[in-house]
Amino acid sequence: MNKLILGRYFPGDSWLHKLDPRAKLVAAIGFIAILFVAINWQGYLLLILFTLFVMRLSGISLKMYIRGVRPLIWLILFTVSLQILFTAGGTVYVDWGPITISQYGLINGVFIFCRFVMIIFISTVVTLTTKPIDLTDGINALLSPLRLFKVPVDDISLMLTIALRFIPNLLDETQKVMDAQRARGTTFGEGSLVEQMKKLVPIIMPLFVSSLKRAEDMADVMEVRGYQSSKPRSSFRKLAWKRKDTLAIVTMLALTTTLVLLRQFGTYYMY
Amino acid sequence: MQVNFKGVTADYQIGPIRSRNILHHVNLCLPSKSFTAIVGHTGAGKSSLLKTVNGLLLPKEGKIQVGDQTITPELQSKVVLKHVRQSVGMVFQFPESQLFAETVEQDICFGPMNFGVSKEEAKKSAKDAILNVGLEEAVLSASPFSLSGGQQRRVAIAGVLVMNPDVLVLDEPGAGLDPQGKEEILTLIKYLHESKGITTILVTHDMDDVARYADDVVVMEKGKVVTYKPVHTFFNDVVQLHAWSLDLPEARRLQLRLEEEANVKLPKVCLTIDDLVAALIEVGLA
Amino acid sequence: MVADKTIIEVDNLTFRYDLRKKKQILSAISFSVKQGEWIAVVGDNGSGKSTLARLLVGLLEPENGTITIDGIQLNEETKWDIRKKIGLVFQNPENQFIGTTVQDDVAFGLENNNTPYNEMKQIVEEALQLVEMDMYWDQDPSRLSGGQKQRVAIAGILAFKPNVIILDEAFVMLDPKSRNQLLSTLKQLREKRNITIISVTHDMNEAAIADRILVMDDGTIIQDSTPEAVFKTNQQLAAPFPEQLRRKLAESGSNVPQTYMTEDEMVRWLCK
Repeated sequence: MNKLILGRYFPGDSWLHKLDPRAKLVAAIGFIAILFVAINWQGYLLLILFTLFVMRLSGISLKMYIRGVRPLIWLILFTVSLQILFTAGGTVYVDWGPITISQYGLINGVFIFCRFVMIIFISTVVTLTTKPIDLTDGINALLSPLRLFKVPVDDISLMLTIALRFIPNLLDETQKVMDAQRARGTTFGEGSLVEQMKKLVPIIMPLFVSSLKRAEDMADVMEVRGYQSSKPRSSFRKLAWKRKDTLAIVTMLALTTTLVLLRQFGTYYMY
Repeated sequence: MQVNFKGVTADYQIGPIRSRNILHHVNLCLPSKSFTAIVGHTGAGKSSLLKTVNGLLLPKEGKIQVGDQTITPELQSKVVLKHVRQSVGMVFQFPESQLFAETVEQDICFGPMNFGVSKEEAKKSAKDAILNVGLEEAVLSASPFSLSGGQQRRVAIAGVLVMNPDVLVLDEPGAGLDPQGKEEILTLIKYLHESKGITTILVTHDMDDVARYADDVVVMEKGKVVTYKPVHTFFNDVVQLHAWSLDLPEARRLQLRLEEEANVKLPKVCLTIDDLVAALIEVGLA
Repeated sequence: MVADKTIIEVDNLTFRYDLRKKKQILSAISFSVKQGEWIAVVGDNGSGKSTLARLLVGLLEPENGTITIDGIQLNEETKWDIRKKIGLVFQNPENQFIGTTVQDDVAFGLENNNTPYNEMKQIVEEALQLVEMDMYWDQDPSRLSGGQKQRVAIAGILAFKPNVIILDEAFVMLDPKSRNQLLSTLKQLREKRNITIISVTHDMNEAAIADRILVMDDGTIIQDSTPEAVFKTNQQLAAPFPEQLRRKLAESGSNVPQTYMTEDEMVRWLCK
C-alpha cells in the first residue's frame, strides 16, 4: 500500500506546484498525445529530454519516480516483448522457427518502452505536484462543457472531492484495524491463498461497518447544511489562470511543432 | 510481568515520507503487577509507545523486554512476536471498531484460536470472558453489531481478556462513553488488575482517572519520557504540572483553590473526593 | 442577555421510528426556549434526547405535534429556510468535516445556498474569527484536534447568522482541553451574538453552567428547571463535583447547607 507513488501528492513549492491544475492537465494530456507523433530517435530524444527537464523542475528526486514505475514493470516488459516478437522488417538477428527478432522489432520495442515510462513519469509529475483537491477542480473545469449534455458535472466533482477527503481516514482506519487484529494474533502474508483471503474478513468487515456509519453521518451533515443536489451551487474554490500557465501551454505547442518538423526531416523508421 | 524499555527510539514511515522520530531514547521500567497511567498531549508519542510493547511498531534502536521475551530492531522471529502478543493484551481507542464476526462468541474466540487454542477451549474461555466484563451469557449468540455502544466496547475488551494476558495495555478505554459507562469500564479494569495481578498500562487524558485508578504516572512529551513518579508525588508538584500544561484532578484543583482563598494548608494531597472530605473535616473547615 | 422573545416553541411533539410499533421514542413533549438561553438536555441513553435534536433541525419528521422556530413552523417546505436559523453540531468531529481545508468546510453551506464568491470570502473569514480558528484557514482536517474541528463546524453554522446552535453530544469525543476551549467559544458566542444554545450532553459540569436543564427519561421531559433545582431534587443524576462534595460532607455529619451549591458558593462557605 505504501509503495504506490502514482496518485500521491508530495507537498512542495516548485514552479510546477504553483501551476494551475487546468494547465497541468491539458499539458499532460497534450504530451501523452504527441508521444504518438514521434517516429524517430531524434523525436524520442527530444521527448525524453523534455520529460527529464520537467521531472527536474518538480524538485522531487528521481528515486521517487523510479519507484512509481516499479509496480508496472511487468506489464511494460510484457508489452515490449510482444512488440519485439511480432514486428518484422530489417535485419533478422534471431530466427528460431516461430520466434524471430528483427531490427525493426527491437527498435519498436525500445520506443514502446520509452513511451510507457514517459507516460508514467509525466502522470506522476502531475499527481505529485498537484493537491488532489486542485486536481478535482481542474477536472471539473475541463469537464464543464459536458454540462450542455446534461452530465451532472458538479455532483461528480463533489463526489470526487468527498472521496478524496476521506481517503486518508480510510487508510488510517485500515491501519488501526490491522493493528488491532495483529494484536489478537493474526499474521498477514502467510499461508495459502485461501487462508490469506480468510484473514481479510476481520479487516474488511469493520471497515465496511464504519464506512456505512460514516456515510450516514455525512448524509445528515450535508442535509443540515443545506445541500440539495438539484439546486444550483456557487463555488468557493476559484482557479486563477496566471502567466506561467500560458507559458506552459505555449511550451507544449512549441514542443509539438518541433516534433512535427522532426518527423519531416529526421531519420525515418517504419513500424 | 515486567515491561522494560531500554533506549527505545522509533519512527513511522507513511508512504514516501519518513517522519521524524516519534520516540526518543525511552528508558522506562514498569514492574510486574503495577498500574501505570501514561499522560501527555496529543502527538506526544503515547500511542506509539504502546505499540512497541507488542511489536506492532518495532524500535529503530534499543529494545523492549516483556517478561523473558525481547523485542529488538532486527527482530525477525515470528515466534517471539507471537509469544509477546499472547501475553500482552491491547485495547485500542474505540476498540469496538475491531468487531467483525457474526456472533459475539466467534469474535471473542478469534484471538485464542489464532494462538492455537482449540475451538472448545476457546468457547469455554469466551463464556468466562463475557461474564468477566459484566455481560450476560446470552449475549454470546447475538451479533456484535446489534449491541449498544457500551456493550460493544465490553465485548471488544472481552476479546482481549479472553487470552489471559499478563500485561494489559489500554488506550483511552472510556473515550466516547457516558460518565457512568466510563466508570464501569475503568472499575472493571482496576478489579482485573487487582484480582489477577495484571500489569496494567493506561493511556488517558483524564486526570481524575489517573488519580482514581493508577499507582504511578508517566508523562510523555515530544516522544520522550519526562517523568515517572507515584501518583501522590506527581500531583504534589503543581508548578511542574502547570509547566507541562496538564490538568489537575477535580479534588486537587478545589483543594488548591481553597488553600489559597482560605489561607490554610490541608494535611495531605487530596486526589479523590473522599480524600478531600476527610481532610476538610480534619482541619475543621467543614 | 436572555430576551423575552421566544425562539423555539415545541408543542406536543411525538415520534416513533417504526410506526407499526407502539414504542414511542418521544411522547407528547412540549417546551419553549427564549432567545439567548442556554439549555442543557440530559438523560440516559435511549431517553430520546438525540432524537429531539434531530427533530429540531428537520432530519426526522414528527408523528404528531409542532416545532416553531423564530415564528416559522417547521415542515417539508420551510425546513431549508429554518436550517439557516438553527444549526446542529454532531458528535463525531471527523465525519462532519466535509471540506478539504478549514475555509472550504465553512464555505460548504454557503455554496449550497448559492452565495456569490466575494460575499462568501468575507463571511468565511468573519465566521472563522468568531471561533478563533482564522489562523488555521488553510489547514486540512488531519492536522486539527477534535475540538478544533468542532469549532470549524460551528463556524460553518455561524456563516448563516443563526439564532440557535444545537450540540448533539458534541463534547463526548473530545479531550478535556478541547472540551474547555469549545465551551469558552460557546460562551463567547452567546455574549457577542446572543445565540441560543441547546446542548445535549452527559457531562454534568457542562450542564451545570446552563440556564435551564431539561431532564429526559423514556421519551418524556421529567424536569425542566434551573441546575439548582434539578440537582437538588434529582439524586439519580450524577451531580457536578462541588455538589457531590456537598452531599458527601453532609453524609459525614458536616453542617453544610442543605441546598445545591456551585463551586463559588462552596468555596465561600468553606472560607467563612
